[in-house]
Amino acid sequence: MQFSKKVKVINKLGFHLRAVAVFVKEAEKYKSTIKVRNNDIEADGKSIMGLMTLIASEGTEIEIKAEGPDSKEAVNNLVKIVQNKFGEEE
Amino acid sequence: MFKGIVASPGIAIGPVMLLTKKSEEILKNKRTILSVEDEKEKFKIALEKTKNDIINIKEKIIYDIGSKEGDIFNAYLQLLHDPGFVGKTEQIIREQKVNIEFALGQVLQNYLEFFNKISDPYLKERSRDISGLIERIIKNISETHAIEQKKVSGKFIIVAEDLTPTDTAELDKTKVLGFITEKGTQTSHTAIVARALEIPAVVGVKDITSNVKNGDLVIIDGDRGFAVVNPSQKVLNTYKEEQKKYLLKNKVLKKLKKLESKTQDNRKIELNANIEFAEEIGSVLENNADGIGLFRTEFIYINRANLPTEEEQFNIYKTVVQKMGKKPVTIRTLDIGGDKYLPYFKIPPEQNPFLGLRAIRLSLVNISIFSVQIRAILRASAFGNIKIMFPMITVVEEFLEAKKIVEEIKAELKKKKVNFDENIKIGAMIEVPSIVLLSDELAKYADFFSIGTNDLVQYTLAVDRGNETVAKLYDNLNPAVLKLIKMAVESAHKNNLKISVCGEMAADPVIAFLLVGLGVDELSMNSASILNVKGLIRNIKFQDAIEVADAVLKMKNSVEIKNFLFEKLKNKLKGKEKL
Repeated sequence: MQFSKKVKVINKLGFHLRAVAVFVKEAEKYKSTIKVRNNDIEADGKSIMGLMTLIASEGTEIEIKAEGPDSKEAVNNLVKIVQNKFGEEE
Repeated sequence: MFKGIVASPGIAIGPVMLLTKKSEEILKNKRTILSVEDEKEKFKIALEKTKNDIINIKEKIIYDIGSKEGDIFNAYLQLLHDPGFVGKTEQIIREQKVNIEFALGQVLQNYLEFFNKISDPYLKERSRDISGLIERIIKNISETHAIEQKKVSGKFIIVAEDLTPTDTAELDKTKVLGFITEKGTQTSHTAIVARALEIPAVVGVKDITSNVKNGDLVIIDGDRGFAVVNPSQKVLNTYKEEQKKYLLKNKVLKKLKKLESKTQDNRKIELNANIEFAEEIGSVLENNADGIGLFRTEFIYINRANLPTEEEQFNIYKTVVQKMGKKPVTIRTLDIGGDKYLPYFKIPPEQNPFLGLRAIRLSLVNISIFSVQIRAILRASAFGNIKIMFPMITVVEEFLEAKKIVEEIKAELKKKKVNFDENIKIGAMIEVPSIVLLSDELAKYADFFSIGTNDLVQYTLAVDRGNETVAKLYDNLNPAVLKLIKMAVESAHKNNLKISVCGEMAADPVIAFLLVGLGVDELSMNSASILNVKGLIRNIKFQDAIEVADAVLKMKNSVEIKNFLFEKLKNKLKGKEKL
């Protein structure tokens, strides 16, 4: 089963190492394969190095895609993490 | 053949042990590997060590600052099993059959290329996060190498970009045949250590680390400043022959051991040893030094995670002084700052460290550290002949302040009925031009003077002795330096004090001749040079040396002085050199 959603990066530092690590930690909980896309670059949602090369800074719109038995739950929770600024204050 | 700067004499022949370079250079060093599995195994071990390091740092940070700041370390931990990082690195190792360092370098480079495209300043700044992690892994890989090297039996020649005091403190000195470094000058730390250990060294050898690999056969020609990598059989034989001659000459010198250090007209010049480690006492006794003229205590503080306790220091000083019997041991209090620092005692970064908080200045603003050392020294003084010496005195008040602290601790020990030498002598290092100009005043309060020529030359000529581009200006025989030495000697003698020279200058027989003529009473040097200088002292007349020194003080530059000294010495020694 495939599922995807778009979300805007709103934390000040964007997809930096600490934020990406929080994202990957969540992504690893799901069986589905997870991809994140920024314009024409796509990266493995379970790889820190991969996600960092997306260079998603503040204001970038990204698309989170999942394929597998828990894809909907995965995408929804990952979107929430981005919207919550990865737990950061700004 | 590579040309460098002569740092420590002698000839060494042996296999290379390459000490790691800066991580950015290591990452560019491409090697073809024989076994992908071995390389992956090394990577695994380094990752495991890095993981432990990070967990430790994380716990410390959380404890010190709070859990929020520890978060970045969770990210590091995740990266250590990240497919995009570990997987990618392993892939490069496997596909290109290259070493881990190079593979990591590729991964880092790809990653940084992405970051260079970013305009967002915040995100761009974060690229450093990953570089920091990779640096740590590299460090752990080299440690893995080091462990492998430790298993190598036999002795080796260390080749490195530069050796810090911490590096040399960590070395197994019984296995080192010699040093070759890319950086450094005659007075840099590597050179001093090499001379102390009586092993040959050549420093300032450009690009040597890129031109050798572990196990290459290399010759150090410490007298001429050459390094020969993988020599031909002919060259090797020549050097083996020279090495034999060198050892023979040493044997001849050893005959001087029991003889007194006196000029032919009976002027006694005490010849003392400079030491850094208690382990060097063997060499001090072997060369029959009259005492220890300079015990550099900073090496008790370097290469550890915390300050040495009073008890630890006391035991070291006690061991040294007991082994020296009744001979005097001059202990210089902590001299850090400048190019020496302690990992656990951070000094705020300074624009000009050599003009900053170093030596006695540092002790006087960190009285608790200073007091521990003074207490340890005083307690050890009950077991032999100890003198205390303060480094880098710049004004008289500094000396008085430091001396007052010693007096306070003496009173405290007396109250507690702890034994110590109540008449312990306290002296000053003369290594800053200002204190030479004020030496007549200082002499009223000090018990002795000791000229530290390395720093005196550096501060008089305003030249950084570690900076190769200006090292030429660093000139022992500059008339300005010699005039200051003469002035300090006159102040000392006017006030009935003895004055010593404890820099590396004292070890050069030609310069020692001049120093004797200038009136210096004692010379302190690396123990390996003592017999050589004694040979000189026994073959000259004090009266001749005085005349030569008087003539030298009228000369304009060091070239003229050098030629004159060589000429005079050659004539004096002509045909009459004997033991």
